[in-house]
Amino acid sequence: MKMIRWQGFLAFSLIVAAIFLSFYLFAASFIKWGIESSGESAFNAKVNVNSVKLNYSPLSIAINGMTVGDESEAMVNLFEFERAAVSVDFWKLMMGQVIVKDLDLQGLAFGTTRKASGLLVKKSGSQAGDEDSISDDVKEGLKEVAEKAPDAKTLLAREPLKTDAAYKTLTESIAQKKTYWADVEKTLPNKDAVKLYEQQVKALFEGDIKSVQDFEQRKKKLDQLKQDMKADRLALSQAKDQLKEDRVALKQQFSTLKNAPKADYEHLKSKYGLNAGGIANISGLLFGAEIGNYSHTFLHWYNKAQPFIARAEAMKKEGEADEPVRAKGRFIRFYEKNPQPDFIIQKADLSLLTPQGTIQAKAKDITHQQALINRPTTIQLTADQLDNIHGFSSDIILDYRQEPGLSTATFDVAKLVIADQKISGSNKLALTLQLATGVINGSAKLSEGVVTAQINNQFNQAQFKSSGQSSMAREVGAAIEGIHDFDLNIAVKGAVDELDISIKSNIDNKLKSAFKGRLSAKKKEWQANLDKALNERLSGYLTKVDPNLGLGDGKGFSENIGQLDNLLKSQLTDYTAQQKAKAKKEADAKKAEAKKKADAEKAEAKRKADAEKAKQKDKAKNKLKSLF
Amino acid sequence: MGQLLKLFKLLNADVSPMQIAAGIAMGMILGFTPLWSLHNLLTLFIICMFRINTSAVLVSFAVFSGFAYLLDPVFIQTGEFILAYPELKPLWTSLYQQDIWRLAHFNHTLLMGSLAVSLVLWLPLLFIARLLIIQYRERIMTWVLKSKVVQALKASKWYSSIQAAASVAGLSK
Repeated sequence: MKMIRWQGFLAFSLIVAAIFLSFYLFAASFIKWGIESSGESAFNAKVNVNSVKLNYSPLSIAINGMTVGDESEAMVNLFEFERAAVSVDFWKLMMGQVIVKDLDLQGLAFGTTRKASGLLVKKSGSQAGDEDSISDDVKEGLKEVAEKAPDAKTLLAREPLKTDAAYKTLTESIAQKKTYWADVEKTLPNKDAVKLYEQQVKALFEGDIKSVQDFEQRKKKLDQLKQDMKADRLALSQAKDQLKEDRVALKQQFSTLKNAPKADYEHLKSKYGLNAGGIANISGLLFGAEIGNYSHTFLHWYNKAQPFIARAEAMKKEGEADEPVRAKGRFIRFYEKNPQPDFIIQKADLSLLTPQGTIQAKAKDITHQQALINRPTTIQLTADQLDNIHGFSSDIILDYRQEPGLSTATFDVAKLVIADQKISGSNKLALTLQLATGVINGSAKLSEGVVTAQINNQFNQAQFKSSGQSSMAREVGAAIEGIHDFDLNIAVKGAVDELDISIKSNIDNKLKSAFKGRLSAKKKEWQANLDKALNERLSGYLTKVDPNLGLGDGKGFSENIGQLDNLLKSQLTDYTAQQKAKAKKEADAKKAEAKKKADAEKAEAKRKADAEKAKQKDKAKNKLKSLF
Repeated sequence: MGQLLKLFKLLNADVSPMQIAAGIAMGMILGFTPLWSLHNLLTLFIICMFRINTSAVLVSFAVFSGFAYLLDPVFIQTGEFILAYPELKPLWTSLYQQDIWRLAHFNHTLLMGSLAVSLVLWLPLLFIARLLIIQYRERIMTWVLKSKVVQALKASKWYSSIQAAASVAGLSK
């Protein structure tokens, strides 16, 4: 039997021809389907392609009218383009590598409106507006500018004052201590209790001790009383000490209250400072809203790009992974003289449509495997004529050859024309930059999610127009109107979702010097009013505060302690000694009585002797008289 | 089902067991390895050029494709091992410099692993299949044809319609 069947060759040729013919006929449709389905899985939104045209020599694909929906907004396109011509290396494509030699993308636009929803799955309502934006904060700050330096009364009503806080703390402490001491005093021995002790002690000492048992009973009772008195004395002593401490604490709070107006005065003066330094950050507040909007826009697009950056990182890591991907396999790379990435766009020309005009972009080496070609991705943006912008150019380098990756960008605007730019729409201080021309240059770096950027703006021929309600606003407005040249230096640093924006401008210095003269008189008046208002408030508080700070003087405690000390000195002598003392007392009494009796008798005898003596004397006198 | 029936007929017919066994072995290569690969063009060429039974190829391809889903991880591991084998690295590096080999995706772990396993199993499968077909024809065919299941199948309208269709298509003996 013959092993070879020659008609099989015909069959083989027919099969191969059929495969190639199918590819030739349906390749364009297949590619269109491939772009739409892979695009939808990549962007998680609807991807529509109008038509795809395939040329075979050289292999190139022309994609007409492609729209990519935005997964976060149903009726908005993430981007769309009118036409893309892609020239691909056929052999490399067959080898599993997508080498785009040339990409020509025309009419690329971001954030365009869709006619039908671009969502693949129904999503809940947009989260936009749930969080306060940076610009909102800045607008709040701007509002504050317009409301700066109100009169002292309004200021004291609006500002959180240390005086108020100190008064509140003191009154609360006084009330708390009052309640505390009211409760404590109920548990402490008062005068009645001390009097009761007195009576009890006196009762023990009254009457004769009739026997040893009687003595011991009295002694026991006295000891018990002394124990109680000692405990009460200790409580009184402790209370006295604590009262002293509380008085010191309250006095300290009282002292804080008295000093608070001074601290308030200094704080308010520096914050609302009707001094030149106080308005030093006015440029930040004036231009912060606009800059905040730009940073918000940056964050918006960064967040949109982040999933794709992450996917590119994942693809890169996948290529480098040591562990094989289960059930899919992977291509192993070996040394080659001119290695090419799995995907690269070697050269791309884009025309980017923006509301301000068309920006031309030229990109090179767009790939997630930069290390293989040892070149970063470079993008050059140029726009000769945009609305109000002349001569815009920017160079962007995305270098992810090493970890961590680094993206850098520099840009220049040769001439920026600003006309009727509303800076502050506040009714307190409306400020418009009617006309200005500026030159802008800047640079930015992004690495590991951290942005560092410096943007320098130099404006000339500026014409501000302002209107303000308060005199202060008018003063600010007038000072700004006098400025015609200024610079604005913006420094941005921090994580992309938490940018710290610092705005510096010589406008601050100019305002500072302008305000120095204008405000010196008002400054004194304002400060005096503030001082007066604060002192009045303090006086009001002081009249309400109890001079004794709600606490007693502790004299009652001392008196009770003194009486208890006296009572504690009382001693009960023993029975024998008491009997001896009694006998002695009786003997002494008897002795005294005998002595008294003897003295009386002696006095009587003396009286009688004296009387006899007088009688004899009279008798002798009479006898003598009778003789004469 | 038609192909299965045809294979069943072939097994019972006087087609060379080697032709059927070669068809099974070639079908295994198609089934185990990624279909749209350059080497399968060569496989298809061999199938067409040599007297290999195409029905056996198609049935074998279907059966081994099913097994491939389960065995893919094993193939990948094998491919990883072969492509990372130090002694072979110079060979792979030299092949890597040539477009034709790159086009064949020899450096893909799944393709390399599955092709290597298929080639190793090809010859044993060829002889085992041949032996089994011979044994089947000698020992089981009679029993199977007499079995109640086959008799019931033969008696069914379904079999008649398949048989009629096979006759029209020139498949029946």
